[in-house]
Amino acid sequence: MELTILRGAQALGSLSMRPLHSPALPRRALWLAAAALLLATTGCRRHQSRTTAHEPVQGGTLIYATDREPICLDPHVQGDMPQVFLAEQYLDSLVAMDRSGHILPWLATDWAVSDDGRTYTFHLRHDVTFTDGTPLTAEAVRANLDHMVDPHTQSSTAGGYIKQYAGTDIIDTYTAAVHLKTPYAAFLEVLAQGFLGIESPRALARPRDENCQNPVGSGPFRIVRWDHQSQIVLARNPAYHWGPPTALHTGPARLDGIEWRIIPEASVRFAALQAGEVDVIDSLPPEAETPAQRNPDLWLLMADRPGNPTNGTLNIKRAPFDDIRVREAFIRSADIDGALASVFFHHYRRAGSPLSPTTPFYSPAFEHHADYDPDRARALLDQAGWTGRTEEGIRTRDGRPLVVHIPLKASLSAAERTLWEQVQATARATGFDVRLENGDDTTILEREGQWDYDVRIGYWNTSTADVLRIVFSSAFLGAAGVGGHHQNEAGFSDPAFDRVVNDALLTTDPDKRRALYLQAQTIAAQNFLQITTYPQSTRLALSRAVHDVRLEPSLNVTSLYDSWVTR
Amino acid sequence: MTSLSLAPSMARLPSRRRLPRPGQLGPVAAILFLTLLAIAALAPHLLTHADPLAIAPRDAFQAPSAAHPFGTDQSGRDILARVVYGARQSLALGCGAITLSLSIATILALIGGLGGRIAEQAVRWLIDILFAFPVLVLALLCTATLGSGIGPLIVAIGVGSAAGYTRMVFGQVLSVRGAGYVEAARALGHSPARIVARHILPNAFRPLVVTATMGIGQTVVWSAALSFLGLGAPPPAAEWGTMLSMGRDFIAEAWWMSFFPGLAIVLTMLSTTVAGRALQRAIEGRGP
Repeated sequence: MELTILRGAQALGSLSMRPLHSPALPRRALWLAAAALLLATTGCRRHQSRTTAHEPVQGGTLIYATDREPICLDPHVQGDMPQVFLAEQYLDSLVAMDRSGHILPWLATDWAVSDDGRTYTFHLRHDVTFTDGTPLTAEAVRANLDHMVDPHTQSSTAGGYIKQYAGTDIIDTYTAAVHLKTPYAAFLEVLAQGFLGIESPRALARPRDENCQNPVGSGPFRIVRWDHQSQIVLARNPAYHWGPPTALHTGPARLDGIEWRIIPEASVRFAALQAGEVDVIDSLPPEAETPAQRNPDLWLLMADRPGNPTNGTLNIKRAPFDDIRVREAFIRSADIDGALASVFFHHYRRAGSPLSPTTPFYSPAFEHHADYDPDRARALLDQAGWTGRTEEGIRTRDGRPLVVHIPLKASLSAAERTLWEQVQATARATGFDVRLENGDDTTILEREGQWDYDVRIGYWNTSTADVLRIVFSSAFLGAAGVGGHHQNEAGFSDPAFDRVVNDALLTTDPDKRRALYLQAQTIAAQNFLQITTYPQSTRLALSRAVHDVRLEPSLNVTSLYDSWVTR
Repeated sequence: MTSLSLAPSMARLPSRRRLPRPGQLGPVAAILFLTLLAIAALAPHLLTHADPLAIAPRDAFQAPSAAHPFGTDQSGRDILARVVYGARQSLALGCGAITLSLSIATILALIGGLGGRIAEQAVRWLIDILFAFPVLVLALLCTATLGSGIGPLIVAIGVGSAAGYTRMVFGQVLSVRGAGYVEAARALGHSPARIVARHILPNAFRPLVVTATMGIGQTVVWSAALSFLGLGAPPPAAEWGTMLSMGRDFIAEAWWMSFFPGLAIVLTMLSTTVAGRALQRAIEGRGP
């Protein structure tokens, strides 16, 4: 019941939270659910603990443990989730986004959009300095946007988001006019993400790899040093008084500093939290979630991330998935709910739509468009001519067995790995021979670059429905980023779809955008391009000594700016 | 002739027959376990009726019970069945890799021992180079170039552990080739092939039988280590190392997932070691 009500709260586009223990007592569960719903809809200010009577404490160091180390600390380069989590602590963005998707001022106090939608004029705060002493000026905005689109930066995420960028004119010291080649209605939405955080132009002028080691921002903390494969040390920026409007307080951060530890092993990370060696862990694995809920010394902070949910994208450029019937049959052969009930311990909900529910313009109409239905799957395979059978019961057509190759990266979590093993077993029952092929991450990235897969496991976190254009439009069929993978991993190319997602960028009228994104979701769903599994989410477990940890709404990434610790 | 054949490595004294006593319970238990392992590898259906691959997500993480003596895993698969069916994989790997290792060792040792001064030096260098790499690093290198799966794994471990065996066989060949009975055979005009087959190989191999028996256990551990790292047979194959690796993530919730495959690995290693030592005593004729 608790879960159902929470789902309701999530559907409102709010923060999902399961803050306390969840014993089987229905009354207590109901109370908790009610509290969670209330908190979720009121912006979750007071969720953290029974110790709300405390006044925030100044000082102290917070130890944060995460699973993956960033490959570069500058989020412009490549652009993977570990980078944006760190960026949120030491970078500010031009604009912020609130829980309902509204764009709010941050480093830019206000902005104007030209009538043709191709020029954004930003007026900047006058009182911001980067931690290397460089003042924030229009020049800095230009240097940052230029840096993101510079091919040498190899920016898959930030650079991919602003492909339309044409250049920046300096109107005066604090006014920058950003020009786009084509109108881009999602521009402010992506600018709110930490991936497009504003760095010191003086630091950006250094060689890329040097900037990767110690990038400089204007955020509440600054990077002190990076001990590779161990930790990143951050210290408070005492001058900081330009926090985002989404924050809980103003002025400098309350913590003296942060130790950002890298602990890849999920069980070790959780054990370190239970032992009090670290204060906060992220990527709490599903198997640790119930023990964490039962532990009275811990609390949880969780939220689904917007974007394209965790999925297996079907490669439609080659057989067997070049046939839409085989794609639908495969998706309907996969019992995802079984996996969510077993290895995910009912903690994750199903994502059935091409957009995660927290994405602006998400439509719930597609949640069940391709549910598990082995009978329909068998009928579809018969129609598609896969009527023969091998001795082992694998379907064949013209003597060729129905084989599906799925490369599995070594970094895949145990739960995710199991999910695909269960897909393998259920799809086998309808006659698919699913080959799960283990490999190290580099090898598999190479395979992805060569379209050498039938299913590619991935996700795309972003604060805009424009993610549909990135993962399915023909403009993103080319190689991108350091690994050379394709952002459109399905190989889908449909002029009608391209037109819809491009048209959605031409207007800022929410109703028109909603209608166009509904069309885009419809086309994506009807083409059976992905097995969507569950929404990406930020899952933190925190010691009760830690207070006011917040998730910045643009991507639901951890922000430690307001946080304080009681020892 | 008779006195010549008394070279130490040729000594073959009959083992003294005794009644089993407490000190021999170990070997007996070891041989029993190895027999069980052999049954599991050759006829697994005799030990369990469950299908090691059948998933039942709603029965996931069940503790050991009458229905599932070893419990179920994260997909509701029966762990007893997976441990039993995993034996074939592990033993095939163990025996395959040892066979490959010994073949490489024999060929290199014969080339080095009988191929003249340059060949001897070359083999010495090769052994030194191979020894500079830890077995697992060499094995990782092999799987990186050959890919993952059981075939590459046999090659990886076989090549990786060849250096040790090569050094042993090489040492034996060197000591045997100068022995009086070999010289005598040469003087009698026997062909080199016959000398190798009749005199050198049997004597070079004898100490190896024991080491190889123990080596099977070591190989099972190494293959478990490599499959633990995700380089073993692809899913859903039941493999002890993979099961252990998967189980460690759930150890707080479902200890049985890693305990039973771990136990199988430990008992295999222990049994081959105990059996190997018993064999050693039997061959060398020394009392315990």
